[in-house]
Amino acid sequence: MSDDKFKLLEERKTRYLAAMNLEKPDKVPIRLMLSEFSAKHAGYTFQEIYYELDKNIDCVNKLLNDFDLDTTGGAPSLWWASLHDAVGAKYLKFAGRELDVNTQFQYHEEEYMLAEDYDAFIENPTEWILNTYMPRIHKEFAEPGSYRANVALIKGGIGMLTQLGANQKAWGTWAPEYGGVPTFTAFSKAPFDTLADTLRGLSGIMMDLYQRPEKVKAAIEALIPHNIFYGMATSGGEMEFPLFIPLHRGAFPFLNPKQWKEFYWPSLKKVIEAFWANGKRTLFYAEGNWTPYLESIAELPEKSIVFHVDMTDMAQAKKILGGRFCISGNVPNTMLAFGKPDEVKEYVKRLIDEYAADGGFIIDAAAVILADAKEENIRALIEAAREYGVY
Amino acid sequence: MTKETLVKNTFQGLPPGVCVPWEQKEKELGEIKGDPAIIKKEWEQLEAFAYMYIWGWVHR
Repeated sequence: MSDDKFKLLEERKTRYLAAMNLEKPDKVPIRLMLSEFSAKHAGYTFQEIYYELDKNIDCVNKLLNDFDLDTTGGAPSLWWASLHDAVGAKYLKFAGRELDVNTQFQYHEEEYMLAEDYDAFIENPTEWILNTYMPRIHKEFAEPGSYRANVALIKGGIGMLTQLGANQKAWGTWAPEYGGVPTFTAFSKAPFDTLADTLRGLSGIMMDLYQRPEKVKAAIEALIPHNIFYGMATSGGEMEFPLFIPLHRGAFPFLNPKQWKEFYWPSLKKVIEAFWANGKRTLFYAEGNWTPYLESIAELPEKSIVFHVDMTDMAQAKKILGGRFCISGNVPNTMLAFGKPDEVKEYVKRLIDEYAADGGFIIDAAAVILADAKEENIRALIEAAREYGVY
Repeated sequence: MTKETLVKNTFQGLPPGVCVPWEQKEKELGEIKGDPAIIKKEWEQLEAFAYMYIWGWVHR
């Protein structure tokens, strides 16, 4: 590692950690979740980054070379399409196969867990996932024990390790050669989301809340230790950077406040508190609007989360959570896609003026940045953050 | 989704990180001539990998 890259790495890391610890760093950290935007920037099709690990990783090389980012979320495509083809995973559709080469991947939601599955799931979720869920979502597993299913299982395991190894190797380059700092180093989910996203789906869970609420609660209770384990296992012992939880069905008004307090919040709170007790902070990536729930979120241990603002009222978030948790956000993605650089700069300036003065603030877009964002607007965001975000 | 694919569980209430408990495997192995702690540690490490693979298809 060259001296200047080491210095850059240390500056960025110190800046990021200071903000998360509610301190005033030298500058407001810039943390952008640059996803499919980075494929466009690197000149790759979506098919290329979804299917080819080296190109997916190369997108980040180009980003780190071309933009002054304090952290990076890693390779833009989380899901390796080749691995999904190997097992015949049917819940994701990818560019270049079912979709045009530059179409964003799509999630095909169904009730992959039936209402009748609750008891078996609650009794032993791990075994139920392998025996019942995986044959449903993987076409290659349609006949468990068959030659096709056995080959797919081998390819699936090898594929997942291949992807993990490629990403790990890439960090061996991003940190020393580009001064790249990870946005997060672990992943988990809110237990309600685990149940409501890939298992029961939105329509299934909404009916369950009325038809079998006790089963929902029992399933969520069963998920809590698994979601804690998954988060800590993915951290691999790394404790400085946060654990990423993308929060989905907890946004208002998927659930009404009574349902949220009864079904969503208690288990999420337990998971986050367990991470914090183990020394791991959570990046509370609150997609959508969480304004009605800010008072409850304030119950979490001080500094245990970074509260990310998407459509939540930023002023309310600052008023209720400021001084207790670092806050991040929230340049609207619509502005990055359809606005002008001057509008972006003005928005960033206002965010910094109104919410960053005391420290404990990270500038970011409102949500993950897809290919519709204009490069000049990303550059405007970064320029404004550097111009106005000096303490 | 059809009910035909429903399968009965082999184990009940497995803790996180476990797919086939060491206690079950130990019975099947019979006499262990060396240090069982080494075999247990290695068994459980690969158990955790398998567990993470399985749950990786749910946590999306």
